[in-house]
Amino acid sequence: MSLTRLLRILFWVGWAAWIFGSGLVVLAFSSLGDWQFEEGTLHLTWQFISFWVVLWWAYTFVFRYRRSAAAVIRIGKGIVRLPERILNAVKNNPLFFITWAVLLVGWQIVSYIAPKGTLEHPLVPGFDYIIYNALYRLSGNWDLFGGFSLPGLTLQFGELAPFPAIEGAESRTWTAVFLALGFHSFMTLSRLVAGLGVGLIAGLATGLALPYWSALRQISWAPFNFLRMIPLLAAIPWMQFALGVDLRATTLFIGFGVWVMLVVATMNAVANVPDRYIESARTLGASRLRTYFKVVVPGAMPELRTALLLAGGLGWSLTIAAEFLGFPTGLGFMAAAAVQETNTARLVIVAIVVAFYSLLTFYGLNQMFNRMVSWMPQRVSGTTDISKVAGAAGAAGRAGDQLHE
Amino acid sequence: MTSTDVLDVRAKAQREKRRRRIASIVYIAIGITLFFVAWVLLSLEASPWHYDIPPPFGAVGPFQDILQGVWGLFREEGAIAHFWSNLGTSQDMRIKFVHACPDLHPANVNNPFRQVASSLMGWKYTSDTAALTGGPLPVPIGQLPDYCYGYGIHLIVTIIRILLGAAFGTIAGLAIGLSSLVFPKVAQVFTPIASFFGTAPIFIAAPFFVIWFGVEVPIMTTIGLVTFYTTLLMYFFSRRAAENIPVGIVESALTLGGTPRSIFRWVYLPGTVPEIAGGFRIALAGAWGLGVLVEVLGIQVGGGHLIDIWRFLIGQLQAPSALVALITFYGVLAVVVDALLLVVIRYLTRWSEAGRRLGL
Amino acid sequence: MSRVVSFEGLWCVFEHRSGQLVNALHDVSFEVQPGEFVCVVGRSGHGKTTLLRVLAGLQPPTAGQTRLGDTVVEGPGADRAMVFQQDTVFPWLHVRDNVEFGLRALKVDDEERKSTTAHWLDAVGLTDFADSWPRELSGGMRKRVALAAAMAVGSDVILMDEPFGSLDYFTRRNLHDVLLDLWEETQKTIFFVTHDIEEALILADRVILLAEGKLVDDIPVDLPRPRDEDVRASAGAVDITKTILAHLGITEEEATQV
Repeated sequence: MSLTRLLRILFWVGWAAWIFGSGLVVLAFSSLGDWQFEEGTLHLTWQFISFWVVLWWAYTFVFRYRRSAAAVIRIGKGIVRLPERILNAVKNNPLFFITWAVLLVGWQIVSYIAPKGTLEHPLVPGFDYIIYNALYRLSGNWDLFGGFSLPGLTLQFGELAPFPAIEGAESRTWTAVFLALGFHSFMTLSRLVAGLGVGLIAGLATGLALPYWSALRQISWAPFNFLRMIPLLAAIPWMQFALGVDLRATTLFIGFGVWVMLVVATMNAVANVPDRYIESARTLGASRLRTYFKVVVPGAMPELRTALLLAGGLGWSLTIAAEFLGFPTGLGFMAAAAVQETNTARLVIVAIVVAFYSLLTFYGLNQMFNRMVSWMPQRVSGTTDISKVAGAAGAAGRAGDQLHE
Repeated sequence: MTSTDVLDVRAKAQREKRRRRIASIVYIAIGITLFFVAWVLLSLEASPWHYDIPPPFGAVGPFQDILQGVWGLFREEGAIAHFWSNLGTSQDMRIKFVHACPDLHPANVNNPFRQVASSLMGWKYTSDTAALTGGPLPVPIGQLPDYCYGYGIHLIVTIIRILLGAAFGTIAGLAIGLSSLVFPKVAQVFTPIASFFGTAPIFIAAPFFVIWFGVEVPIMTTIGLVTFYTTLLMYFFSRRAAENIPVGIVESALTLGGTPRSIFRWVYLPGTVPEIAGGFRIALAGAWGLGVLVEVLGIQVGGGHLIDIWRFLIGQLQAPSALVALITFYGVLAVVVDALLLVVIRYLTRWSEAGRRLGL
Repeated sequence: MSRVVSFEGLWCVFEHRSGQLVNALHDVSFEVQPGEFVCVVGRSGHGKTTLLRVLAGLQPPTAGQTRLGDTVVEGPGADRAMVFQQDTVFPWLHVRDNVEFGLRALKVDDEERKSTTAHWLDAVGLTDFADSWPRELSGGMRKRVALAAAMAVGSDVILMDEPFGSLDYFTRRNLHDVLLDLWEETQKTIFFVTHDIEEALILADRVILLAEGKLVDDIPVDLPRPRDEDVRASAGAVDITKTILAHLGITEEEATQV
């Protein structure tokens, strides 16, 4: 038991050390990627980054080869079985696919008959336009001329694909399209993760700490419930004025929004832990502090699922909206640029990308949550399909009507 | 034990009850005070946000203002004072940005009702519009009455738009959600669409509404987005509310001879009220921010437009006061509307434990 | 080790939702000797649970006091473990950790904690389920976990608030046997709240009757153990049943007048 725990700790310590170690290894072999160190700043190329990432993850494969191999096999099997699974899904729920097909085909038809407007781009662009025109032109957003700078570190990406913004429309490439999407996604995601991370930790900590003291809980009720009601989206212009436009600003702002929301949600969850658990723990001789950590905190977790998902949604909204209103990078910026050109097609692309990421976020938060509360009974009320019961009601009702006739 | 002792015991219980009640009021008062103390501290000169956060009240001299009465608190510059002095008519708006005046059409200018109506639509009558439509020239600025200048008219039209959007969305969402209980096919069609649009941050839909409606029917920018958002949320909430009705109750209704119609009317409809009402509160709280922000992006009359104006005049001395005052106004508005809703919901759900708990 | 439990002039006044004040306990005084099995019987809403909660220290009385030996009860503690009517097994802890909960709070050292837990799990017959989640257990098994957890902390007094009320007849009979075995083995004082006269006859040394918060009778049950069907059909048992019913019948009329 303790040996496995020790090995696990060793593994993660080694993993963390190897993040730097692998970087040093690549630096040592300068042929793997050019690098320079000038005036306290490290200049690196994309080759360096890719070798570094490969080496970094090789660690996992070496030390957990069984698990890694299993994962690879699982993914492979998943890909092989994908067509079969899709076919099954279509069979089980045909309306789902019919609905989507109707929606997509409908959009395409609307794009033919909708008024073109006086603008350069169609108001309702067809998928042909979206893919061959708007998506391809996204390569214009690949404009990391000066490289990507962090304090003490600059990454050069110029060799990956030419910059159409400098070299003209002829140098557009599909590589640049995906690089542009990748870069702007990276910026948005880093802002989101920083803000959400700070907000989640601070929110859970505050929300769990305040109700421990009854006086603090009552005092904080009014201010937090007011702060919760402030429409933060409307506060973004002021936020940019007060905090500026950088990572620190978005972290503070998103973190603040998530924090306020989670504090209220957590305090409610704590208040809703059934008294009988607390009383039972107290009669078994647990101190107040012990009861709080062993009973109230785990007991409050199930109710936090919705709050966590809402926090994810709030984080996404705040990030995109903040970028929209004044950041020079990120998916929100791409949306703002699209509005500037009244380019609906580009907007569609950004919307799809954002929807995809937020689906992933929800999935991730849900997984994280499920790990936290593996003890929880499976949801009972949610699994009963009420529509079936309603259908049964319908059948019974019709039978009854016939009887009456 | 004598009867006087019994009275003693009861009096003790009553005292305890009163003490708790007073304590909770005192705690709330302390909370509100601390909130303002924090605000004042953040706006002090020593604070890093001194230039960004205006004090809530005017700078309070220790003695003079008390002499002048409590009103002295609100008189000098500060977020509350700024809001108050610009609410009806606004010198700032008259001097600095005439284009914020909602409507300069001669027929509308002297008619407050038409003024509000055209502001609500988001239309603006300028010399450009006059040239384009061949209408009369807009009224010169000097001849304008005061009432079209203040924050008030902008805020009112925004509130009306958002409430309209929320109302439409609620009706649509509930109609789809509740009808899906009787016709399961509706749910099969709508759930995938709703969950796709529901997972994406709803703000990403805002630019579409701006591009599609911003120029020709500006009112639909706010109303459309808020309707879209509220429909999604109310659909989810009505579905979930119905799912949380114990199957046993429905089955019991069936054994009592319930028809689909009577079960819908007497079981689903009242049974889902507490959760739907709670969902509506959540939807409305989100709608304020969404509605205001979409106005920031692209509509020329409304509370969001005020924020947009001050955003571009950010160098001006009053800008922080204006922005903080407007944001605070929306916060207070949301709290007030929420409190009103709570009263209604409590009445509607007085049979329900969950309904009672809504009030905390 | 074992101590006398004494209730001295207990009053408990609650506020009804209408704002009316209600006497949940009305001047209750009595003493319980160590090792006694006491059943508190009465109609629902007549103060049984309140009496138990006061003894557990979960509910401060409006007047009067409860003592355990020489110490006045001022709050909940491991010397008066309680088994609740509802399901109080912590669903986020494995069965073993549930039984260990109180021992960990008492900072018992590892060896002793493990052996104690193993002993009580064995005593309630759940050794095989030590590493299960509570959600995987039946209602009766969860009650056994709660019982084992209460026994494990080694308190003098065990408080049981209609613990088997929600179980089916057979499970309940089975748990009566388990409980009586444990009681005979440990000689702990047990307070058992129930509204079921038969249950009281099976378990109790003594029945305390509460009506409208008042102690209306204190009936010794000196029937031979084990109390099988014959014993419960004997003249003594029938007399006790009649006495209890008579008291409850009287209070029933009073209750309808209120």
